[in-house]
Amino acid sequence: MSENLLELKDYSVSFNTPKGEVEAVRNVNLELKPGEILGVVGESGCGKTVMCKSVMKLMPKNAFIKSGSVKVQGEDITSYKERDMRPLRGKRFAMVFQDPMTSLNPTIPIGKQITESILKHEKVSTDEAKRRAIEMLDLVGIKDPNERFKLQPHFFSGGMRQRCVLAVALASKPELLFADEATTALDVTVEEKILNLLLDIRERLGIGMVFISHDLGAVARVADRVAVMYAGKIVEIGTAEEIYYDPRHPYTWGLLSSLPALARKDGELNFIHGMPPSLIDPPPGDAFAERNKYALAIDYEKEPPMFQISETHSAATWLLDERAPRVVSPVNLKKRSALWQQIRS
Amino acid sequence: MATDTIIEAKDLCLHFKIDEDYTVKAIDGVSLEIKDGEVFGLVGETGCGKSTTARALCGMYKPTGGDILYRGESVKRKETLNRMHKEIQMIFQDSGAALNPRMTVEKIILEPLKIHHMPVNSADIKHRFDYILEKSGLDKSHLSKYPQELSGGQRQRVAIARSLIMEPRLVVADEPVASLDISIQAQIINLFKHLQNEHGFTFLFIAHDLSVVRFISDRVGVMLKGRLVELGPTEELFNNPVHPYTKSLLSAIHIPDPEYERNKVFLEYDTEKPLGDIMLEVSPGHFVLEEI
Repeated sequence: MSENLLELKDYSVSFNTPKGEVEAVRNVNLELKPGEILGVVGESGCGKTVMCKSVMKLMPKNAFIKSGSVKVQGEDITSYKERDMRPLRGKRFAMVFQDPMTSLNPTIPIGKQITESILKHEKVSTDEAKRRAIEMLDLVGIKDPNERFKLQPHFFSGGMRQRCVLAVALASKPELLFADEATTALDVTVEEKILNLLLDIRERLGIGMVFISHDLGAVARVADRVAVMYAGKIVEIGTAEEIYYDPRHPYTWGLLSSLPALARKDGELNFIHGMPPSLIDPPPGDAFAERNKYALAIDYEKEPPMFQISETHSAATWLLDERAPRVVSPVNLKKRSALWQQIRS
Repeated sequence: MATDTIIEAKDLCLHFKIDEDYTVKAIDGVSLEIKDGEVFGLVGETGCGKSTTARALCGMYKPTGGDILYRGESVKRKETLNRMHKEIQMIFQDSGAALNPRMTVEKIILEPLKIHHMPVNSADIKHRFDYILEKSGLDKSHLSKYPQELSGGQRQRVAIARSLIMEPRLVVADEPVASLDISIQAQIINLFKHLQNEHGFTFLFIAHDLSVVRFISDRVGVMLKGRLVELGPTEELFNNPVHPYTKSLLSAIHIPDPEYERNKVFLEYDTEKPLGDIMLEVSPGHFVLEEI
């Protein structure tokens, strides 16, 4: 068994706010192997971004790790201070955000922004760094890298900029890449190309990725494993096949069945009623109970533990308890998808 | 001409002159018609001119070429344009920016009536207001709130209610669900569908998410570089795409099905390629721009 690239144990992150403590991430357990892509899905405000940013300690001052530990390549970084973190960022892990224009400096040529990242981490000559930067641009699929090297970000289109951001992130050879809604703002065709690029980079560099998205279609494209987050918790985690074809948590059912992609045209879309709970003083029991039409009495009192379904698949819902009534999943993706493909071909 | 066509663009052009030798051809010869009671979807990549087309159809820009016919009459006539302004409403993507933060929900919804000098306090309008509130899924408790106190989905409902208060013949919705969470997106899509099926509203629906467009539209137009490259009934277009750009666009759709996704083939299309000039009808109602 190989060493885990990222390991979160009972990990909780909170924010101190005037209104009280916001428990943004609650008791998350997570492992990521080298070369693996983990998709993280959930509604806005469910803690997916906070989880990743807090691993890199890119958090505002009022945030703190409430409990648990973070290990990156076996090294416990939970209590690391800013000074300890700096050499790790870029080297161990890098992050790509949704909006490429705010990640790049609009006044500095693309090439320089990449060499900056290389020179910061390695003792190499400027010429060597430049050569590597051009190699990087080539890797992320930018044509004529020698020419483009000198151009400022505004000369590039949205998709190209996102490629540049990827080049900056990958230049320092990280082992782990966080992609936070990295393709959300892009057109479908461009998104497809960037997703293919991510898969290609994983193939060539063997780095692990945490791919955050609310687009379940894009996650299906790239992820090996998928974690579903709700109200700061991972409610279901498993391989992509397990999550899409055999979902067990009612929240995952809700997400999958509210997608128009595989819906029947004459029908209505299902949706999850209500809103996620406030994370200041979250409700006792299952946070999803209030919106869950399959909720049991116990859901309102006691928090469900993670029930192991298979070696890779687990979900936190009382429906999986042996005493619970049998509920059949309302989503049969495989059947609908087969139907869909039949129509297409 | 048929009376059931609400609005028709005839060889519509909108060229923005930047300076002496540079003109942006935002819309370059688009012809389409929207029929009463249908949902017309417009898709295409960023900057292809779909929003500009929508705005031109609302009368927000003066066309530099071609014409827009509103219920059979050219909008070059002032009276037609005025009537069109009253009977077409628009919904935008970012409901946070589209609603005045200093107005309550009630005032926001009633504002169009004031602008068009309609009696806000008449019994008829009061009845209509209650009806639309219910149809948009809002309730009385929302009325005294300000937009920033509402969630994204609720704000979009307010924007929809505001567009419906004028009893418009056509509602132009520019990416109305793009910034919403999946579950709220589903609620808003259901609302659109309900408004069309039960109440006969007509929509021009712009989105870049093709699966949403497929679910909601009766007919779809695909735009590229200011041109309409393919136009047809939704299922016909999705099942038998003809233009290579449409094929590329459709092959890029992400389906929440890992096995399908891993095995699918993406057809790349070089958007630098020049486009043809003539629209050909390949099957009834299905038009495709000829390839060179």
